[in-house]
Amino acid sequence: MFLKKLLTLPNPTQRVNMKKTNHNQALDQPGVSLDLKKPFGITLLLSLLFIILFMVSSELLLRTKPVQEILPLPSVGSPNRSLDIKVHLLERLARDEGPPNIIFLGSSLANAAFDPTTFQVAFKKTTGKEIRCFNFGVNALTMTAGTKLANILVDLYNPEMIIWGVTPLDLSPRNKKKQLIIEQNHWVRYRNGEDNFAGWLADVSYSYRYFLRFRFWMEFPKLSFQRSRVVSKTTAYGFRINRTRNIIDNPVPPKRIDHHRRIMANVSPKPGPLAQLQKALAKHKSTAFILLDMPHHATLMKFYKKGPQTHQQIMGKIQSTARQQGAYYQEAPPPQLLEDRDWYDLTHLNHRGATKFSRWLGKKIGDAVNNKMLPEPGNREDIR
Amino acid sequence: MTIQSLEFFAFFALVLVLYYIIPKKFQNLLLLVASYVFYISISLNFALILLVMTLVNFGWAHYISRVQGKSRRKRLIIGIFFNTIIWLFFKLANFFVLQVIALIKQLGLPFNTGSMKVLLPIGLSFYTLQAISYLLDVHREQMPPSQKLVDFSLYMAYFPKLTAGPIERAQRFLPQLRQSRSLDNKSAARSFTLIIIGLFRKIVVADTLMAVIPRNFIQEGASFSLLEILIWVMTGAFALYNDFCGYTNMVRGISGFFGIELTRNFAHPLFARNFSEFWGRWHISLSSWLRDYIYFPLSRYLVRRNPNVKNKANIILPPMVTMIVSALWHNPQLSYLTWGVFMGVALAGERVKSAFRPVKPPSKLPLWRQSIAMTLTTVLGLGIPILLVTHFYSLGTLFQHILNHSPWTLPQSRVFLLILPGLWIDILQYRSKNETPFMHWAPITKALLLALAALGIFFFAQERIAEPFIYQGF
Repeated sequence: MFLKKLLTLPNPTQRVNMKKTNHNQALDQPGVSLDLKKPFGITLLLSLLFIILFMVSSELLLRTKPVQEILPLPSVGSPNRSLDIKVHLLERLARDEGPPNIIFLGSSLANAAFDPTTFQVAFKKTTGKEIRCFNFGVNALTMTAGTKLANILVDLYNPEMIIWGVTPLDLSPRNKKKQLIIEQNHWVRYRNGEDNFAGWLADVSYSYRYFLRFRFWMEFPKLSFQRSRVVSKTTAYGFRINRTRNIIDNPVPPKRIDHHRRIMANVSPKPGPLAQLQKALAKHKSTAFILLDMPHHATLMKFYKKGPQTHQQIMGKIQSTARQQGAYYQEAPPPQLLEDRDWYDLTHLNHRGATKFSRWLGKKIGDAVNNKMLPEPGNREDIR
Repeated sequence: MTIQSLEFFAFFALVLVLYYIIPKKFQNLLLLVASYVFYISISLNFALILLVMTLVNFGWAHYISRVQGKSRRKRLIIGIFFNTIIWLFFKLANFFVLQVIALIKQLGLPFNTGSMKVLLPIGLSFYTLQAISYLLDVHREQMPPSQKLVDFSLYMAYFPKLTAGPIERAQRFLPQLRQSRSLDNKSAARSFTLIIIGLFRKIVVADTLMAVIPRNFIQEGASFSLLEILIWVMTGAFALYNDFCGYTNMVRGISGFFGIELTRNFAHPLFARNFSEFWGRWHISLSSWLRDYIYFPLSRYLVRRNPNVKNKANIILPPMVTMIVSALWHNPQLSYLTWGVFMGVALAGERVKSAFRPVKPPSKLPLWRQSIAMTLTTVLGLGIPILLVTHFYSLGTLFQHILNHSPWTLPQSRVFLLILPGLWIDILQYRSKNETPFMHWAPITKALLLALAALGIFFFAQERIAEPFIYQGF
């Protein structure tokens, strides 16, 4: 009975004392009709013209050298400052002097260790060849992210050689978030064949790149300031100068040593990154890849789970992957090459150490070229 | 599908095209189907809850309208109770579920607690208030119960306003569905302008401001000076305002294209010169709901009990109860309750003052006093609630940090660069007493401004995960 009462609608005429009846007045003609009259959309059309005008003029302006020299380096939208800096410095080098023959790739260890100018001099001394090099070391770069950057570098600049500084740590990333910052960057994803609009925009538009830099300045003032400071200390060849501190005058704090101990104890080779490396090496046959075992401070070696044995085991896997794909593998320099005064901290070389290391590397690679173990750089027409 | 996403705009465009293609008599049905499709895209369960509430309230309103006297009142109370209990269940369920999970874990009982989370249906708080107001209006005979289930269902589920309001009144919404309307050049331009203003406020101003506020300030109230805290709190308040006002502008613009005018939610609250004025300008659809269904009835009841206008209960209780209900509607938590009490005291204070001596209306005050009043009202009306709600449990630490710091350290001044465009829109709207003042500008200026706004929205929207609107959380 109750349900029946509830579901039966009362007759409108029987409804009790309705104060407002005007709702029913318009019942005859309900609905919305379109009543747009010409002219319409003039403002929209005009604004579209303004957008085109603005975009074209800003693109032209922002690509000119004088304007770029006044403005800070643009951005491809990565919070990783070294990625942004290296992408644009390399672009400028390619524009001003031509693309480099050799690109150094790797994490912050490579960033601190490869001095392109010293390398060039040592290489010329050994082979007599004049070449151009660029340090593309990017902080927190893992093996997986490295393969993505290698793809981009080959795709954009097709260098004759890529010297990739690797360590066991690259296979076992300690900070997933930092690792993903590079891998998930829209531009990196776009250049690796993953279609996305923001990545495409960063690839083609300088207005957008400068906007990204502006947004970074707005949202991360402190990091933006740090970024500008790093740019001012980085050469046109991507090497950061004036890192003069050493671990004798500034001993590493025990807290930091504990941090290293914790991280190194958990290092183990993951199959995923090795497979990525294999894929990247197999893909790019026009560029010679050299995988270089980056130097470690002796203190760190004993922090691996089984000491130097773990290090050897992991580097052995990298070496065999390299050899399978016809890439060259270069052992780390002998421990006596680098003394404590050459280390900025336990993982990074300082300026003095980088000079020593780059000189050594220039000679080693030069010797390999002379012995025909590596193709001779500086011969390709497109790179002159 | 968030309202500022491309997917939503594609959905909106599709519905709009269909809306003007199909015969007029099916337009409301199309909007209803679209609303449910939109809600199901968020969650099927949410849509089922909405459906149940719609059917029950539709039938119950008729059930109320059939009788008079005490039975009518009894039926109304049952209807309100039904809506409130569902809302309370979802609002409080998670709090109690967490306690139960903790207890199960403590006792080591072999229960799988993974699936025990209860999600608050998005928009529930908003459409519950709509349902209650509908029952009350029918009970008060201010409107007849809706004869068309489609119309009433659309009132409850209309997709532009479903997730975060505005809280519509059936008396205003339903008649629109039964009228003959047209979308002409002027209303299309106005709706489009509202959408652009809304997108600009949300994507360029609010989201960027939220990104600028230091994370550690929001999460743990790390060490900052008094001035920094004040500026970050006000930045947060400004971001909240632009987020919610942007949302309202967008949904009103979208709805305008369907020929349905939604209630205005904001009328320049930053220019309010006292708390009463502030609440008349901030989240108007909620404050007018509270005014009409709590404040006025309670005031009338108290005056009937004791007609003395200077009676303390008559002065203090209505604002206090209203603000406490408002706070609990936002979130039934202690922090929100404290904010409600604070606001209640502030409003009661203003009423006490005006009950005992004549008070000049704010517009009659000299300009300098108006400016001070505006600043104070904004800081106290927006800043203090935000501080209470976000840092309630860390207020002690926050004050300790204030004492340990030089009070005059300033945060990065670039935050003001973001506040300026938002404030500029407010000033223009306030001075012209028009929500879309740009519409009267010369076509070339309008086009230039639109181009800049579109580029700003387009660039700022890239490489950022679309942040949900803050009020969707309620």
